[in-house]
Amino acid sequence: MAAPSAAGLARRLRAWLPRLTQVRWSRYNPSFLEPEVNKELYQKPWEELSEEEKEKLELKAVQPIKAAPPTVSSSVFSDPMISKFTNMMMKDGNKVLARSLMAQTLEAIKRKQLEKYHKAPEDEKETIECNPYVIFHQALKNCQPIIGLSSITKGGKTYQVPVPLKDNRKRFLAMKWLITECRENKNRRMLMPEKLSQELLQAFNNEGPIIKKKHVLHKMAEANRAYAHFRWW
Amino acid sequence: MAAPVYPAWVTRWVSGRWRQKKRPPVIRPMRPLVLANKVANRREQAGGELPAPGRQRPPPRGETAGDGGWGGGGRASPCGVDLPPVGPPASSPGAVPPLSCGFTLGRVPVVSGLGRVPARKRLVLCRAAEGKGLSTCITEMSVMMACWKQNDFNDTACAEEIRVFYDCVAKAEKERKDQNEEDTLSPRGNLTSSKVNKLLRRFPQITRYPLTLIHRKEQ
Repeated sequence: MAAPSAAGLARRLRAWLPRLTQVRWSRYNPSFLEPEVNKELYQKPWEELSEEEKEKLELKAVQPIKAAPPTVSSSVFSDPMISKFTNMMMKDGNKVLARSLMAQTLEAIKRKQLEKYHKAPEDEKETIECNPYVIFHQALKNCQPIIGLSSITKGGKTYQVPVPLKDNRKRFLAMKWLITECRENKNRRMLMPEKLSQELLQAFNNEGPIIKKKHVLHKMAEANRAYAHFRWW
Repeated sequence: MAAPVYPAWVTRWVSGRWRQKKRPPVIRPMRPLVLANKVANRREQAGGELPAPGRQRPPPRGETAGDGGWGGGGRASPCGVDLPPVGPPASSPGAVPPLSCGFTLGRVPVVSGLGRVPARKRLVLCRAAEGKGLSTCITEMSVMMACWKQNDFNDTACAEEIRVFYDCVAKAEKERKDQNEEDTLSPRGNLTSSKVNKLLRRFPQITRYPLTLIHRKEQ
């Protein structure tokens, strides 16, 4: 007869699609253990291990172990934070480009710091940090917000309630702010590594637009502290 | 000639404002607040502080605790439950500050005296507030914010307060996880619905007895 009604189709589609699907789930049996990538742990002789480490090693001999993902590596040069940042910078799966940009950023930071180091007088030379990894980590730590705002609806009105954030969320926000800042507020001719190195050095010294954004968030949380009781967790 | 003086209704009609419903407010004599006066007199005798008059209905049945629902210092809540005190209202100019239970019914604020909310809605709203837990780490958060205000939001100056806040948050998180894990009754005396469902699935309620058993009972 006539084409089926849209409502009927929608109902049937909803019945076919499950209500709730888990987005990130694993097919591994829960008895599978995570792989240990740290080589130094295996190079320790048996006598030097503590009790719990010995127990863990013995457990690993009998329990099955999951396959190591390609992002995890046992090389001394790999850093999980830097890998995460590179992945966030990546566009359309172009990991090669993202990795080269990250390498160029670290090189740019090192060059700038070395220049400062050689120009500085003798007594100030020790205060200048030249390790780009240290600068990267410290800058990210300085950019992390301490409390965030969450929209809670109560009685028909939505309030911005100050809420403590989880560690993952803080790291994500810091990285996200850094990347968005570098993508949007730069000259058309300036390249990403240069701008990123600039922002990282500014964040390392607790100045710059990202630190300002963090302070703005803190100020808003402080202004809304009266609503802190709306939280129930 | 002097300007003609028309009667008041003529000018009102001609101006057109009456038809636009711009009428002067009608002042009627106030109803005698029997309950409020009784309570006020009772309080005066007891020597305590006077609650706000304006509640013209008795407190909802079954929700009174202690002395007729007015128990506890601070705010009188219709549920008889001690609700957490609300801090100073937000600095935004047009916002309605949150009052007793801290919420509004639509756009109408729920006043402590509850002159505007009908009784059954009061029950529902307060039950909703009771159903959720209290927020944790408010004191640490406020201490940290005070330190921020003094030091112009400099994190290095407030490192100690921030550390205390993080410790409190970690502890609260652990407590919550433990609470969710264990199988005991919550402080209000009920289990979560998922736990109840699992229990009932393991020990179902027998609604149909076999015939032989029934006959034997009748004998």
